[in-house]
Amino acid sequence: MAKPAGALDGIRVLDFTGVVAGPFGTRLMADLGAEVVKVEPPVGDLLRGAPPRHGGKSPYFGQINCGKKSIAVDLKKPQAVELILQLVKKTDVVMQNYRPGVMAGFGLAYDDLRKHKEDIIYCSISGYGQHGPSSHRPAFAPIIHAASGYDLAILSYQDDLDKPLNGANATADYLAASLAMGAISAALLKREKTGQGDEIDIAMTEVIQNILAYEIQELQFKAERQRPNYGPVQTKDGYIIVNPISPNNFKDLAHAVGHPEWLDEFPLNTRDRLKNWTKLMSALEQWTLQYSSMEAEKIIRDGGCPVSRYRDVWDSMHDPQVDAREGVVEINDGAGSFLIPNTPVRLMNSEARPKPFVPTLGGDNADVLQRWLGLNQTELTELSKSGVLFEGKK
Amino acid sequence: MTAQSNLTAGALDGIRVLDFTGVIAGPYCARLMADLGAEVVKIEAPIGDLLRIASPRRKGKTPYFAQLNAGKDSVSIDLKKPGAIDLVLDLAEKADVAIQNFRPGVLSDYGLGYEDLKVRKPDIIYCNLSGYGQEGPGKNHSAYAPIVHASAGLDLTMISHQEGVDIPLNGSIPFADYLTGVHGATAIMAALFRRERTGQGEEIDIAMADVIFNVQAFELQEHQHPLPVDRLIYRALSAKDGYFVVTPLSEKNFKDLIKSVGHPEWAEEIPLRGPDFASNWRKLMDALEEWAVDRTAAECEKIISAGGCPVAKYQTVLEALQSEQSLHRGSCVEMNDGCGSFLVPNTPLRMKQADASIKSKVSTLGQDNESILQAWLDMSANEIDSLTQQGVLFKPKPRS
Repeated sequence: MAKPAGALDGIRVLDFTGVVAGPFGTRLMADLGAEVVKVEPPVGDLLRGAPPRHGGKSPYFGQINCGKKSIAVDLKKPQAVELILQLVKKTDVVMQNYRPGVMAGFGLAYDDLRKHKEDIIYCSISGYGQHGPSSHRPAFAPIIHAASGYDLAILSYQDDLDKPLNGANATADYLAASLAMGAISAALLKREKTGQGDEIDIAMTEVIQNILAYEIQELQFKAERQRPNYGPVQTKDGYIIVNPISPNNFKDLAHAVGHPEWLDEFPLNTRDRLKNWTKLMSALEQWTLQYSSMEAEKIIRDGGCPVSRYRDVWDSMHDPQVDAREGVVEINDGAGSFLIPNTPVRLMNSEARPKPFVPTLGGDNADVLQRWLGLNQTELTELSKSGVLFEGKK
Repeated sequence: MTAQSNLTAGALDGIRVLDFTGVIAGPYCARLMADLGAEVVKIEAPIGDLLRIASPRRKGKTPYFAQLNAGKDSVSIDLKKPGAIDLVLDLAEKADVAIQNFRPGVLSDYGLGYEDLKVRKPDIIYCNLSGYGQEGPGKNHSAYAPIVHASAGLDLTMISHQEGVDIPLNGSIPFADYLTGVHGATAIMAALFRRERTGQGEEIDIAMADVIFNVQAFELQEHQHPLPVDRLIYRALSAKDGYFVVTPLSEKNFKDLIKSVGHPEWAEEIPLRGPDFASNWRKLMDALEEWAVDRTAAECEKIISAGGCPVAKYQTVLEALQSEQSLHRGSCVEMNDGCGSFLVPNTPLRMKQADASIKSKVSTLGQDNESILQAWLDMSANEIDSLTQQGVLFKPKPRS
């Protein structure tokens, strides 16, 4: 079936974001067809210089910024702010993740922009929110993970650790990104119906608190933990994880490994569920130790119980299921091509996929300013000379 | 700030959602829509969402379920009874969105797949959430979040950032569920916008595995482009009574940090640039831990934060929810499900010109059978009674 357009086709986004949370949100919008123009300072998004790198470019940056355009503007120059306000008149959405107050300092807060584009949709992502006693605090994802309870929640499920783990994956960033895009889409729908714009305020702390539903309630209603620790079971050559959570899963597991007697020995539908779960996992480990992870996974999976061997993200994307879904796409940032995961928001009747190119810093200055504002070559050259516009190397 | 009284409607006001989901991913997806004003009707089997009986529980109810299903109505229908499918199709005709997280194929077998609903409501937006997607050789692999964390790389990513941990961690926070729910809601909202402009409906297919691949951008690229130097490790630093974390990622962060702890000489001794970046980062962390020996984590946070460098002490989610900042923002909301009150986080989607907040209603199983069937389908009390007697509709007897 032809996919004529993306769900966000015709929507223009001015993107004042950097690092992960903001850029991944606007990339999702680009995946769905929005025209996203990244407005970067002359030094560029911090992630442009981040490892890993190839040929002077970062494919990490490439993955979360593909499909966008880039203009590089020195916002410390008043003329640059004027230029942005002209662009604002031609856009639908502004997204920013500076520390609260920074955009206002440039004269680019929601209330400033509204004067130029009344129905603008303005989305801010920050660590703690736009107002309040902690709003000024700088925050990267690891800070939010410590401050919002995520790290201690993870720790509470570990058996032999008493020190928080190293903050690693940028969970809070990715969650905030997708929520921001959802909120923007909802605001676009409302604008379509009512003609009104909106201001959106996403705080990463709240994003994390919302995914700790069980842990919040457990802290308020101190009860013996009823939830098993879902952890690794050792095999001959590594580890697998097995989740006999429902009675059917448990039956499937016991039969698959040839131990139907476990159903009576470790019944999971009783008050002793937790104790029996632990015993079951020990018994299971005696069985799994005779097999490789691959073998154990196959036997248990064929029996119908949820199971997986532990794979790294690279291995996990080389899988028949991923191939069948076209789960991997190739993009090129000028320094070479590399693989990224296909978009996580799949719409069957409209285009939804990462675009295969990555903008160079300021690489679209001319294109965007000509098309959006009708600037001519002389005007563009003038802006570059006066340091308002900047262009990095290709 | 806009006065609350101006917030007359939510961005999704007037949108009707049929929510066929259970446990976490689907319910959270639909709840986000309720937060923005959609009318969400949870269609539950007579046994009810499994989460209704999860711990922690008091007087038979769980606030865990409440937090994930606040603001929804509940209609309980036994899909196996004759007439039940027709009833659901009648409801679908009045709905804008349907969300489901059964195993792929299950709802189609009932005659309630996208193609079935489309016949009755051509512009329906139908969102499927599953472990590995609706099609393909792995679509039937059953998947709970911990399984997807292991199979899609997240667990090995987690330990790859640890030192001295070589066994995968216990993966008990169902991160993939929440993230999948969020992506589902995001896609639905984009599709609603498109429908408003084009009149066309949409089918959405969100796979937990796809979502998890996407949150490992760094690790995936590192596999394709191996690093010549060590990665940065964000490590918990010991203070007198607990832990804190510091991330001096920019030059300015670093300067602010060493000034605030009274060690400007570290700028020369352990500069955070050049080829020694990673090893100096490690030395800096050791030095900070020495500095923190006699200080509480709260003191460390206060001193470093005042200097401007990103820092946080480790606290529990309940402490975080009750922090001054959370109270200021209204992040912490009190709810009551009839068995007592409890705290929940407010919606993470905050809008200034439209109402966006977690709603306080928590429906019991089948509580809204009558009101929904009357309002959506104009059914009379007699018709509803008759459906209840046939077992199509279900409502448990009140607890005595």
